[in-house]
Amino acid sequence: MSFTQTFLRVRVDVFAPPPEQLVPVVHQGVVAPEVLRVYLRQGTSGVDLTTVTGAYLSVQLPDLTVQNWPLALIDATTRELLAYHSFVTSDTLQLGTYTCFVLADLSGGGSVRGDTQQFRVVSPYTP
Amino acid sequence: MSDDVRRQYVSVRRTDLIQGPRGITGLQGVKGDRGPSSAWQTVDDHDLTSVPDYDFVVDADTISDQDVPFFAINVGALGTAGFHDGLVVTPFSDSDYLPYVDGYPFTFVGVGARFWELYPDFRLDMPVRVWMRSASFQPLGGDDGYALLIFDAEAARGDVNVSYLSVLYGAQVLVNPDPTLGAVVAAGGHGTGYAVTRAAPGDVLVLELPNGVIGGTATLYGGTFDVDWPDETDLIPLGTFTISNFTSSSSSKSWAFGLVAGHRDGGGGGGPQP
Repeated sequence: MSFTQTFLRVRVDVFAPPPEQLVPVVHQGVVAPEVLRVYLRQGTSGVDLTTVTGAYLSVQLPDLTVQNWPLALIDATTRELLAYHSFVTSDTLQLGTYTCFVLADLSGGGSVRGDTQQFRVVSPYTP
Repeated sequence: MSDDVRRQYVSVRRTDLIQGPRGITGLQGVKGDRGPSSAWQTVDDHDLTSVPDYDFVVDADTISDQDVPFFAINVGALGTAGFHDGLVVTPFSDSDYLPYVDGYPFTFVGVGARFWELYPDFRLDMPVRVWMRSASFQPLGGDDGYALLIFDAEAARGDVNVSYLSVLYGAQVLVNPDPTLGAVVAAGGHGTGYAVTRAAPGDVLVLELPNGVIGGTATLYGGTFDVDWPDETDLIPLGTFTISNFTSSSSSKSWAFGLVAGHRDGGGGGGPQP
């Protein structure tokens, strides 16, 4: 009979500079084929992102009104999901900061949301 | 949706959640306010009991689970390893407590994963820590033990002069035992190893390299898993060791953690005593 050891869980942390906080800039009036690409990464909950059946972007405009922008799902692995929103004219009529988060529906029921992020809509003549 | 779900879903790399549009105009993002200059980031938290059943066949055999490639360490002649409601490692009688270092044969048995495959920007000077939760330790003899290891997975023998090792052995936690007894330290005997009485470290060991792999310093903590990992403030420091020099012919892509077990033949004080 041999000695056996069972390991149940492992975790790795690194102490690193967080990625630069980039605030994406969108020029007013852009329309498809311009898109807003959205990446979702699995947190520590273990939610399988291949079970996402649909998603949209909840967007608060500069005047504090809220719109839901549809997202097209592109590719998903267990840990990552790529989606995009195709701009329409009415999306970027207002200049200023837009605040948004993703809401994704899961095949098993329920939904999860992503982190709150921002982007700015600027004049078409802003470099 | 509960707050709990929302909190758990926060992505590790927040700024990757949304990127700017990419089209013919080639829009560029602009820098916003910066957060803290550095922070601990959990790059993988792996429930090994959820890995589909798999038995490693030979040394260096690999299986990928949730995009993490695990590779076998010395499976075959020296022992067995596989996933069956957890990572189950069975070392054979000659699987001594030896990681790669300075010409010693590497005889631990278990499974490892390379840091860069968990975090592509991994660097040798980047502080790193590995948390390990194990099932109860039930040695059949005084020479059975298991270890949490940070090591150079590519090094040919003699190419590297250090691995970072903690061994749970009998009633002691060994921190870098003396090289003459077959463990880990710097070339020329610069390293020092010692044992500490195991002060109820629980089922969690945390091996932290506060100055990165090339920093030569490691601290071992113990703790208890209760629904989730213990809070950092509840970890018990079990020992710290320092190595005064470091040589390696490998890059940051070679370094890995290992969950390993061993058995030293001979008894009679032949265990990995410092």
